[in-house]
Amino acid sequence: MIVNNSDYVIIMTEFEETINKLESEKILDKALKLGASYVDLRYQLYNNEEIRVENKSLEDYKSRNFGGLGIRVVINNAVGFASTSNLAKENIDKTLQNAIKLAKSFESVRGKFAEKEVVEKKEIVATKINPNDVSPEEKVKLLLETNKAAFINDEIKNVITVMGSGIDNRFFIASDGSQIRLQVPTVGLAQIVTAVSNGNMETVVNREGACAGYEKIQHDDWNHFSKDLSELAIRSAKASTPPAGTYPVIVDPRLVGILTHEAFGHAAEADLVFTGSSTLKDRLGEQLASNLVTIIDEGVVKGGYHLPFDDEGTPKGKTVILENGVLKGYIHDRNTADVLAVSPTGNSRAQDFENQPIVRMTNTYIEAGDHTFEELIEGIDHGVYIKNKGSGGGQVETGMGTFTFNGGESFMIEKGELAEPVRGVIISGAILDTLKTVDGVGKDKEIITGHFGACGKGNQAARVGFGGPHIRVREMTIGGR
Amino acid sequence: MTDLGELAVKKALKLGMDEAEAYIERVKVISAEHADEIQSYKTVESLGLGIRVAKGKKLGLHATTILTEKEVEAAVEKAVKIANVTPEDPNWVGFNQKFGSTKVEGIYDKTLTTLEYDKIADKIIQGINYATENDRKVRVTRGSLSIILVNNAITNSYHDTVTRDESMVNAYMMTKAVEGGDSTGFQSQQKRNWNELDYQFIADDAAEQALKYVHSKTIESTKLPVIMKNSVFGSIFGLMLGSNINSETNQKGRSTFATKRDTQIADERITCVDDGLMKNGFRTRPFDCEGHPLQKTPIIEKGILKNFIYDNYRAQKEKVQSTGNARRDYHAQPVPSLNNFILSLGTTSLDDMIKDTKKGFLVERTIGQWLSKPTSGQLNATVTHGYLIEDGELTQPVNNVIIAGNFFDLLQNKIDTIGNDQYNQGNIYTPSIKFSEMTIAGK
Repeated sequence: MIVNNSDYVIIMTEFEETINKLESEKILDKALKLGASYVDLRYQLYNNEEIRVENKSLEDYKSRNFGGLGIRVVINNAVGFASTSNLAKENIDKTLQNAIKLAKSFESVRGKFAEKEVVEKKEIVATKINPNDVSPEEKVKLLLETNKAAFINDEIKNVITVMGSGIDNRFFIASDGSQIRLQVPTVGLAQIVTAVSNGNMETVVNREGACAGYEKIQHDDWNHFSKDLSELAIRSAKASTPPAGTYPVIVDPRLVGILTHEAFGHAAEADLVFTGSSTLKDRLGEQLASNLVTIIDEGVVKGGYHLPFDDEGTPKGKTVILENGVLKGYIHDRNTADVLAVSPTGNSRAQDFENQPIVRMTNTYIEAGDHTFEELIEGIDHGVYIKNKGSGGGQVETGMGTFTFNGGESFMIEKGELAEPVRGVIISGAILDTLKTVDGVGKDKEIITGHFGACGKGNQAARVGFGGPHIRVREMTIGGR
Repeated sequence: MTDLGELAVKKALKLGMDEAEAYIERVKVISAEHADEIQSYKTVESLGLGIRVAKGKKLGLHATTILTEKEVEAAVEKAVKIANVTPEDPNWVGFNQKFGSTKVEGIYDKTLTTLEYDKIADKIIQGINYATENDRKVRVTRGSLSIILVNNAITNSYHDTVTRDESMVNAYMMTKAVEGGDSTGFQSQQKRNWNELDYQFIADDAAEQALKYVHSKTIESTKLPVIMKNSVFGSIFGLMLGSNINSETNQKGRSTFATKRDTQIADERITCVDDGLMKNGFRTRPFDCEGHPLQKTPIIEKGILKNFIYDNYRAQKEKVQSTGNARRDYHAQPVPSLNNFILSLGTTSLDDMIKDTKKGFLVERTIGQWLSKPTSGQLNATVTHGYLIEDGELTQPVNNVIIAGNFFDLLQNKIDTIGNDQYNQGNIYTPSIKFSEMTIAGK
């Protein structure tokens, strides 16, 4: 998967040229001379493009180069950070002075870092076709065709189709000798369809994307994607909502990803654990989920977002959070790892150069079990099969232990069989209860990521991957209308 | 800085474009994250330039954060390249030609430019200490204070550069009870000026809320009268109405309000305006992101839908005047966006609303309300902090239930009482409100 790819020579050249001009070692040296015990620099160049077609006409075509430098220093265990998009020498110097002044202006222990290996690496996610090399005409044509395909009948009132692509170049260098260059592309297509049927208006959304180049766009069948979503919009506008209450449910793999992320992943972020804002504080070694549930956070996994290293230069391997229902560990940055005297797990991530890294998930999923879909469904007398397509995402309040998410089109389950479709439903649950009632885990694991959609925490967005197999949960609260 | 904008516009015209517009944004942020002590402290200085060009009815946009003459010229070339290959937009008339500056007050606090880092740190630590005053058994688990200074310069081929300065002071605090059970408290403020920031209010509210919800539990599914606290109602009101009164969604058939102008869409006690001129308003500005002056636009008057909000492009499409609602990031096209959206107050205090409720449900905090559907009006929110009301008293704290209803039905047919207590959730200013009935999904 990882090679040095000649397609990206132009961008890499611009990126590499800027890195060379930075003379980053000199900045590091200066920071150490000014009293920093540790310093790291992150230079980022993100090129992205977004094209939007609405109701068969091109609405917006925009592109952006976003780049700059973030400097993080530790003085007396306090972390100061300053960033700038102006890379003139005197301005970089001013930025460094600001970081140092900030670190000196408060008392803290967040700058105590656990040891990690020194890493010197350059990684590029291989792509066959750089999205920037595809002509704007070709991209607009594909979007127009996809958008037009959605108008399957006059119940479709509005269709928005968006194509996004981006190439994220990140350079990291630290006073401990680590130096990393990482280039990760993403592409994706999202469609939002509004349908009116029997006087009911409903909007549904679907997105497909990957950590890949334009070949992903060329490979997929967008005509089918488009028509399929319109059919779903019409069915949703016609469908009813199940009465409010608690049901046994089967959750599909993509939605299991959101469930895992919201219902458990955030609560396992060590910074939240230590400051007391997670219900998982002091629970290591406890059985917190059914023994069928194993939750993993992994940096490089098929279908996921590519994160071999985090923004502190720590390799991101495979972290077992829950093993057979027992809480094995949290996900860490270097500081939280130091508090527990464990190794950092490579989960320190920053949205961009303007933000400091904080503890974040990477690709988080439930491990496959051994049930078939038929085995999962046959045990349910009256329940709901909740699917992801058309879903809007979720949110968690880690301190109260409450999460919520929105399912897409779903089906009632009656006497072990799928019955009538129901509209996208809102689901809520309690972190420490829901996963305990998982009594079936499927064989069929799927992990996805995309260009659109991101996880938000502390005003920072981060691309993540998520997934799992079908699971059966005995009790989930579904909101009616 | 502004020279670069003018350079970009000139370059675009030289490359054969009929019109061009440069939008420059310079942002300075000072921000600290804290728990019961400061965790991290940062400052960010960023620059961005977006160049929009038009050749006939063909448009292009490119943006960059690298503001050297060479990169700006390259950015213009990229925008021109996009304009040359995109299909015509039949609705395009031209960039804004009506520039103007309205006199507004209280949106730029100059004292913030010289505030020392340690003074800001002291203020945060004082805030953290307020939370544990009076022997309150809580811990501050998360919070932040951000000071944001924004300078914009707008130039187009019809008008010289205009500039504006704004400041924002945003803070929030989250607490957790240290004994009795998992319970959190939260409060936030979004203001324009340093002296408007009230850490005593934020800390007291966040701490008291955590203590109040220690013994919360879920309840059986039911239907009850629901009181939404102002902060909860603000985010729902803005979400469910904002897109429906937006000319963009109306022109595109994504709103149920498109054909409802001058009709009764809400209870006659509902009156709201979009006021871009309000003193100290979170989104008060002298002109919008296209240089068009701001104004006060009636949106709903006594329940009757009066106006939508417009930017230059959507206004030209309907051959009406822009309402001064263009808003953009430097890297995106402007879109109509609410300035200060203000719901008129009622006369009843939140306390009296609770006292007047025989059996009901008070909602103080929710998550996932943003998953509701403004097109259909379907409102859902998962309640993390709710209280059962019995005979005018708060009796049982409730967590983990979903409230549901159709927002348009609630607004038209189910308003019981409108509060007199205004709070701003960013640019949305609302009081608390009581609805006569909503579905509550629980056990």
